[in-house]
Amino acid sequence: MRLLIVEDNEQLSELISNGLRTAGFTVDAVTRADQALAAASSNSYAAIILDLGLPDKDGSCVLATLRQAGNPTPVLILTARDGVDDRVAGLRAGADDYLVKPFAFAELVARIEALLRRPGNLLGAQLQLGDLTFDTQTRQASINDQPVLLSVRETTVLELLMRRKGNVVSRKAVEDHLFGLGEVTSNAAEVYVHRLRKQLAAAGASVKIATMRGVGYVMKETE
Amino acid sequence: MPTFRSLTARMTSLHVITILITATIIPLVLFYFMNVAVHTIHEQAMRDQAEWLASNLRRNPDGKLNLELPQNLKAIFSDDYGRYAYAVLDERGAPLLSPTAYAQGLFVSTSGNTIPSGYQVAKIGDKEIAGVSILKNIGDENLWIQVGEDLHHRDVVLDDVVAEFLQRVGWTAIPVLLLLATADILIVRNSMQPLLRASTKAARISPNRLEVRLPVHDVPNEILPLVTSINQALDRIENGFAHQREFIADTAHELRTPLAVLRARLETRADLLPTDELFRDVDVMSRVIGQLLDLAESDNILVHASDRADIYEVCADVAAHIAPLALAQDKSVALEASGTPVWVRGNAELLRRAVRNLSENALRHTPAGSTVELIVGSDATVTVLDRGDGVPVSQRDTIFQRFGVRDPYRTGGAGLGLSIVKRIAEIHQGSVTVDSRSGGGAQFTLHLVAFNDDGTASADNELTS
Repeated sequence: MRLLIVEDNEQLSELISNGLRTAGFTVDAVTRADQALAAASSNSYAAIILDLGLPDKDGSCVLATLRQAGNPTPVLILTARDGVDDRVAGLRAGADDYLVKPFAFAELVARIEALLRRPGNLLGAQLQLGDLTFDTQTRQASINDQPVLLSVRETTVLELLMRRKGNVVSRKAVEDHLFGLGEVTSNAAEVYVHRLRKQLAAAGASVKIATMRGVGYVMKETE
Repeated sequence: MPTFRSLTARMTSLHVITILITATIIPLVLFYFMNVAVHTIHEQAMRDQAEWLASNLRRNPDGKLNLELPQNLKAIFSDDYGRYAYAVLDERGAPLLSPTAYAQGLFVSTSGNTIPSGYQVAKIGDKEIAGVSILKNIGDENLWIQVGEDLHHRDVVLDDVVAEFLQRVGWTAIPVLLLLATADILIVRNSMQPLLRASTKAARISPNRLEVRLPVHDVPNEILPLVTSINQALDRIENGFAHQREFIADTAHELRTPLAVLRARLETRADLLPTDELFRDVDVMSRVIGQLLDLAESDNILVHASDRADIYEVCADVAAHIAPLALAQDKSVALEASGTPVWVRGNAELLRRAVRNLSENALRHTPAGSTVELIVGSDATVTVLDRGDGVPVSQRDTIFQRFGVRDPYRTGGAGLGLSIVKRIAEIHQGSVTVDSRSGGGAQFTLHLVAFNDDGTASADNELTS
């Protein structure tokens, strides 16, 4: 997996590159927008990590140029601002994800892996949380390699929660996914989350699904 | 003269004064000229009479003067009729011939020697005689022939004309002048309209509403330079704000990147260093930088009059954002709302920061096992409740001040969060209040301005444009 890092701070660039190489990626690092565009057009990268504050041009311009040229490479934005900036707002449309500085390296790797798992990418047929794994190809959940039998709807909910592990999945998002499987009742999300929770507990999984009233559901590892 | 602040009042008062003066002067001038005309006509008539008399004057062979008047003239000059008078005097002014009432002549010089020529007025008995003296050569001598008319009884027509004229003019002039005054006031008001519009628009300009420009359309040429230069000044200020925002973005980049480097370095030394504590330090620094930038930015952001935000979505977003953090601390987050959008006037991103600051604050103070609640009110309010120790009444104002922290230990907060909330509320013409929650804890409420479908702000119509 070859990644492109566009970051003008050489120390940070080096630290990220070294970390990602350790994590098993091949990494090219550039510091300027024109170098980034040249590299992206001559090589095929699995993902691009793009800093917004570049010396010659704004990172968002690089992204816009790439997208206009029809380059579909997933882009992870590194930004110093989590916020209002029109730039960031515009970026959110073109970029696949963004990470606010400073960030935990593990978070960066997790986000890159998430990008690579998206449809069209080969990596990450397996989702993992605690002792629970989910194979997105065979749609089979297992705990310590022991298969767990789940209904189609429970599996849908599980996949959704595992893809967003540690983050909130809104009740509406759950309902939307269930709706694709046919008629749903108004409390369908609640019903299937409840069933899934019971099934996982019965199988002894080291994960839990927390309900946040009015907010949604979060799947996380139990301590 | 009192000075008026209002241009309209000033112009109107000056106008009324001008009209009053004109209304006084015009009749006087007219009266004067009419009198002059009347006198001229009268003098001419008297002269004609005198010439007529002269042509009928003969000196008899006995040396006596004889005035042979035709019957009609005789009647006019008779004592009975009493209106006209005549006298004939010799060159030195000695009376020669006259009706008995005017034995001394009509117009006699006070010095006694010469007879004044031209139009004269003389008081004789109870009569006021106006007329002329002309010197005529009769036979071989020069004689003064004087003809006058009693002003008290004179040909009424001329005087009546003057009197009548004045009255008519008076009664016609007053309404005309009043009409003129009214028309002028209307003209002044009308020409002030563009200026009034510009003033109304100018009143809406505030540091948060710099996009407003004064209308140049219809503005009179005399005022156009003022309006244009104000608009240019506003352009410059708006540009200044834009530069300021750019500076803030650059500052964020310059401050956060070294922190990212620091954090990445710490991660490579995880085996040697107490990294958990160091990471916490980095997080605190990062948050302080973030809050300072938020604060700086909230001082520079422009909320446009047409901006609207759905506070339900804002709260759902914030709740989802802080939920993992809450879960990690064995706390929970709940959102109470109807589930339908609640539109308020304002900038969604700024409001998200305000709600996030309130929520993070609540999360820090609520004990493990309890829930931070966000309530979206359909009356454009957001209430954030925790189960912490609450805020003593004595601190309820100070906690919104910069570095006026709620807890003395400043656990993870820079003491800026609530001042950011207050600032953002103010930018939105709203407010933030704190109360005790029944059952223990604090209850922060963000009061905003509802955005109606017709594009107006319900609570404050002045905000709309």
